Amino acid sequence: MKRTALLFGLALATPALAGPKQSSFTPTAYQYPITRISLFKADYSGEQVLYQCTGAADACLIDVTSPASIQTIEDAAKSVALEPGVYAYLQLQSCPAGTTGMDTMTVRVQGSVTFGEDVYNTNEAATGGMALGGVAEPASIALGCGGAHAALTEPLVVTAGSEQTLTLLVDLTNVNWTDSMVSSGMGGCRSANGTGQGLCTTFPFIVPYLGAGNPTFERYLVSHLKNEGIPALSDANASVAFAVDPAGTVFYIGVSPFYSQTSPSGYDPDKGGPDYNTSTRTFSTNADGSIAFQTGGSIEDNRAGFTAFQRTSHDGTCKNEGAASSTWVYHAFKQ
Amino acid sequence: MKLSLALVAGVLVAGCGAGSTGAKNQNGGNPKDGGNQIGNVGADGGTGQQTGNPAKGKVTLKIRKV
Repeated sequence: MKRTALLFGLALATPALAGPKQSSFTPTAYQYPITRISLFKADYSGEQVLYQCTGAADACLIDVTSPASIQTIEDAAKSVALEPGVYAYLQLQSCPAGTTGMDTMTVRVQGSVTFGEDVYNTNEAATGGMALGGVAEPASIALGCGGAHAALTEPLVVTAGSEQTLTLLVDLTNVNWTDSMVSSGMGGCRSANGTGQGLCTTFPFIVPYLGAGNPTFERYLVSHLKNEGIPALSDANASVAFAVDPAGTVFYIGVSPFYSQTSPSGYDPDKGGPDYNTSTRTFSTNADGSIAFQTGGSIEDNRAGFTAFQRTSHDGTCKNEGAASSTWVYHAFKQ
Repeated sequence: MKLSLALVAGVLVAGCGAGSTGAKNQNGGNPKDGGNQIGNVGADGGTGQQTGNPAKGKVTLKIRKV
């Protein structure tokens, strides 16, 4: 949907334009409401609330880049007593109870993007949320109610008297992007209506982790070709992130689109690649250490899929399990 | 169902061990109530004390930006 709107914007642009100024970026501040964090059993029963904010949405704003802000949740979610059980899912909600995905909330992001000598900063007063020059300040974006729904890699087994720590890793890498061709009505975006840079956001990538030590992230940019060849880094339009535990094992995978001034649209028939606007459905580690994973809600949901994604820069082909889905030649660039 | 029965039994044992004084028919605590229960238990007027919340486990939530 986002890409469709982008293409529409391109069609209206004058041929003299060199191309849209588009770029993903990692914000220096990201505030969004966190109203409830819960655990559920595998059948979605037995909700156990770890944290709850019952105030208005603005009163529940958390800046996930701020240790002091994060501390407010950690203080409230210390040694929470839970019913014994085996919990398989974590849910983080960002809107009050009773709201749906049709309702919106407000996210505030802060960051900068450079195009040549031009530095654009997030700006609340700018129509599109980005202003040329100045200093980056929080800019608000309306975003559909949602949050995060994450399957725990290993179930959290709560027994009488047990004490455990559950860590939520929050990854903001390239969670925002700016584009001069953002159209009005695009979800999660502010549009400058063709007069400047628009500002878009997705939710942070939330990874639950049980265990000791500090996990790390491996990140890859991915470019594609429909036919044989070596896809170029300048054509990268997707990213893959592996969460890796202290033993070196991949335990979580995230995918997302990636925007640069040269990245092709996802609808480009020669370089677009599969759809990365999704989450990972299944994954496993092959005998050679490469990772097999499929994304999307089902096999019929034709998204990105890999049978042997190596943990270094590499070439390969990717294809969703669906028989009718396209095969793409890809190159993954380890960051 | 088996798990629930085991937990209730656990509470009864914990309640007796925490200072119940000879009470018969001690009810024990409701494992879902949480918190401390101090007061009269048992039909004979004996007193007992159940401390803590032995039927639940604890989880601490940490958040780390990466």
